[in-house]
Amino acid sequence: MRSPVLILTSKFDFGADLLVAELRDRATPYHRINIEDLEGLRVSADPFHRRIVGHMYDHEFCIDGAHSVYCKRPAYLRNASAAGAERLVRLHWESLLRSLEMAGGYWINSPVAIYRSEHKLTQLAVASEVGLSIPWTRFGNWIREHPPGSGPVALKGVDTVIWEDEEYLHFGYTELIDRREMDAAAEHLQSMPFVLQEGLEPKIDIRLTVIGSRCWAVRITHGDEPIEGDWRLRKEGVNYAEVVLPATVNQKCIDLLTKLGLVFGAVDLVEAKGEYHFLEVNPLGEWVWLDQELDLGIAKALGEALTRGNAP
Amino acid sequence: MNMEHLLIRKAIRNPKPDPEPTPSGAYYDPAVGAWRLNETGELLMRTPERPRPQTKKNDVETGEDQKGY
Repeated sequence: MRSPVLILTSKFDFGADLLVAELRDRATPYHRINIEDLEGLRVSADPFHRRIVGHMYDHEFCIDGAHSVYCKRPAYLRNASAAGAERLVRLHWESLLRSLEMAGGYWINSPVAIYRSEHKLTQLAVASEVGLSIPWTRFGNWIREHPPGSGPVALKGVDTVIWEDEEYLHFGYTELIDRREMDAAAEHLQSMPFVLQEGLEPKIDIRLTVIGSRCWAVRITHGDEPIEGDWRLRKEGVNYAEVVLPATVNQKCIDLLTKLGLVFGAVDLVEAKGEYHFLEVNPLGEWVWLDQELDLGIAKALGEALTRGNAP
Repeated sequence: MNMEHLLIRKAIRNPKPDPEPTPSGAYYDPAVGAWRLNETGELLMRTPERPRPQTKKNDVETGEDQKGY
């Protein structure tokens, strides 16, 4: 009997529902473990035999290397709303779920690779190494030099800019700012490191979803027009269209993921100044909305890969 | 926290998202590991009643799934 596919995620990860449907279509056994439902889970992991035995919802399962895992758990909690003992419990569960990688198997994606890949500096360095064009970039808390040109510059967080207070959730987007404003704020910018990049405008945003050696590219515009700044700020009127990128660009993105140890990646590119530029890759990036909007076949590809136990 | 830092000053605030965004008209079936429509029992994500596709969680950007939560 085949070892089951493990799905490590949240009950509200609707993409995982699509994956469940694909696995059921293929009669592939699976177990979904949601971070919200752990009270129903019993698990015992044996590091000597590299075996995990679990019991959940009247089903018992055993995984010992001949299995696949779809892992949609974060590498670390940036802003868990839980506090005190509740947070402690959650942190320990997250740690155990990541540790299941000791049993081997085929992971989309490996928690270790997710952690390493979430460092933007590493991503850009590896992207450049594989031949992708990257914007002029500096990381740090010191505006020692300006990007080339005279137009606005892009200011981003070294990590996700997100925090909560009593009432609100605050989120920081990529900011296009005037160079004089940036210089005037230099003293305040020293308090927290940031990413300073050449502002590539006008540009067309491209989301490239990669699974193994397969790529799906989507062009993101407002009507037919480029979107200035961070396209996620637009709530209405955003258009998505499937496009075909040059094979060389696709291959470099595939190579990037391979070097980062990832099977799945949501790659953000921009087309500007006549070429494609890499901005970042998200190993836990969302894909459901594009898959459903454009019927791309991403859920199918994930189902196939996890059933076979290797990348498409 | 230095509120004058440009990234902090320019951050957008929204009311905190619902930590349990239960889709209406559906229930979670733990035996299957997916949401089902109350009326028909069909898998929600394979019906027209599925949640609207979005890059954001509850229409509040958290930098894509699982970044913060």
